[in-house]
Amino acid sequence: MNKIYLDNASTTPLSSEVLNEMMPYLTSDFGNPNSLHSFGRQAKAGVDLARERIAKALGCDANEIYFTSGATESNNWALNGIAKANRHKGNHIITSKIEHPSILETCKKLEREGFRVTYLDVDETGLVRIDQLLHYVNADTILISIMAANNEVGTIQNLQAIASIAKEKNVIFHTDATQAVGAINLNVHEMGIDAMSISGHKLNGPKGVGALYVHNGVVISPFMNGGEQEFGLRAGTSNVPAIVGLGKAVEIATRDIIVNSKKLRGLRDYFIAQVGKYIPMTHLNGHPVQRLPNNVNLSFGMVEGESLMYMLDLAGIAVSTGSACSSGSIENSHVLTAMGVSPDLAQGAVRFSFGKNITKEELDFVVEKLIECVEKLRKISAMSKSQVGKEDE
Amino acid sequence: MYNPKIMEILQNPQNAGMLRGANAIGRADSEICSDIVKFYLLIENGKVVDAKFKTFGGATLIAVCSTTAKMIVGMTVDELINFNINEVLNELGEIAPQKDYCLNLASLALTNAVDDYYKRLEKEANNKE
Repeated sequence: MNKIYLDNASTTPLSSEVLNEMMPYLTSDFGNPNSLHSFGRQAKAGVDLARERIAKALGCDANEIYFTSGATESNNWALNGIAKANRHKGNHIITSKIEHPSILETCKKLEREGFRVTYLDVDETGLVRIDQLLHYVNADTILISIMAANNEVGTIQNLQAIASIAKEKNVIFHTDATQAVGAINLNVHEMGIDAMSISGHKLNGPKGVGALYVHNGVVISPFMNGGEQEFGLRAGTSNVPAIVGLGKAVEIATRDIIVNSKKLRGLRDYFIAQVGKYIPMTHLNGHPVQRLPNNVNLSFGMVEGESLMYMLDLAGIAVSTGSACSSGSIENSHVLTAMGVSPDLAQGAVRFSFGKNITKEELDFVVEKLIECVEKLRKISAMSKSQVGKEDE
Repeated sequence: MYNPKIMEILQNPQNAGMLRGANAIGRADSEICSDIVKFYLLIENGKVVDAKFKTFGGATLIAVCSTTAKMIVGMTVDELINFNINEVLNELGEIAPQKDYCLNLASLALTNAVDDYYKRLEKEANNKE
């Protein structure tokens, strides 16, 4: 059975171009970049090149890029590090209700430590309410953290507008760009972004590596102590092969952004249209246009998401569902809930996230299987058509 | 937890769908999520002669309901009342602890079906009088 992987928002396969770049550092060039001998210097050259590549791709200086273990660490560090180093200026942080848990949980921790956090609402398409941002930002606000694009529904935020507000109010602006690098143009200096988190494995790069961009002049406290690595702010021997891979992956993603985005946007819209044409009661979650080129998030009335995900899995198609019912609690997606999606449609939401090599033929096969699976599950559904999308039945 | 038996049933659930002429219908709605279970039973001469189910829920819930519906066919009403839902696990194997609620939901829907059966019998008796 041919397998089709449509869960690229979760992780992506390592590209051969990236692997080739990493190979010497996994074998012959194994030195510690902090060592002064030739082995060390060779490894350091790899790390330096990766830093330069990322800086070029993101439109910033190389000494503004700090390597981390991934976007979760970058997000934790950005919020903790910036909040604590700037506490003398204020005590208020603004974020949104649809951020990744690594932002939301860090905000909760900061609240327990005495910071005040405002969680902005989003509209029904997943766009952060700019009017609320303007309302809540004040002289006590030190940090705004809003994701560039949402991992579940793919909605792309109005980053430029948020960055402009932050600049005008003299507040540091951080964005979690885990899903956005390689999908939308991100020139951090031009856009006025002060800090940004990125991840390797979402870009056909290796797992366990990411980076945090911090604009020169923004004060951030160290993440780990005990070494001079990452300009003394993030101690620990550098993961050289992964860093080299991240550098190459970011370079490729930004190099190919126009071609990939155009292709994926076309296939995304084709897929949405085909599904809508053949499957009644299909609901598109997220923004109809301002969404990641590779993201489709759908709910099918009367159909539960987890069972659909497993049925597609049995047909060789890997997708993901954000909600599941479990003893004692419903783990409905906080993103869909914030967007006002009804509980049954939220529980039915399935995310299809395409890789850059996806073909129209593969998507036609997915549509075919989707029609079969949805029909099968609707036949045994205990939910009636009139119940679909109701708040409470 | 991945249970191949659950996946097998998901692909081809037995006793699924509506049962025409059912005279014992029970429904249970989860209090914490949107999950629903419905059982349709046909009881003749005090015995379950056919049973079907419908659900809105995950793979485990579908498997629990399908197995339950299959197991209760042939039972007397008394046996049905005393049916221990955990017996489903003998057929199904282990399920993830966070999916235990599926057993409770199926059990509640069965209890409601038996209630419905007795209510119908009572109504019938009253009509005869």
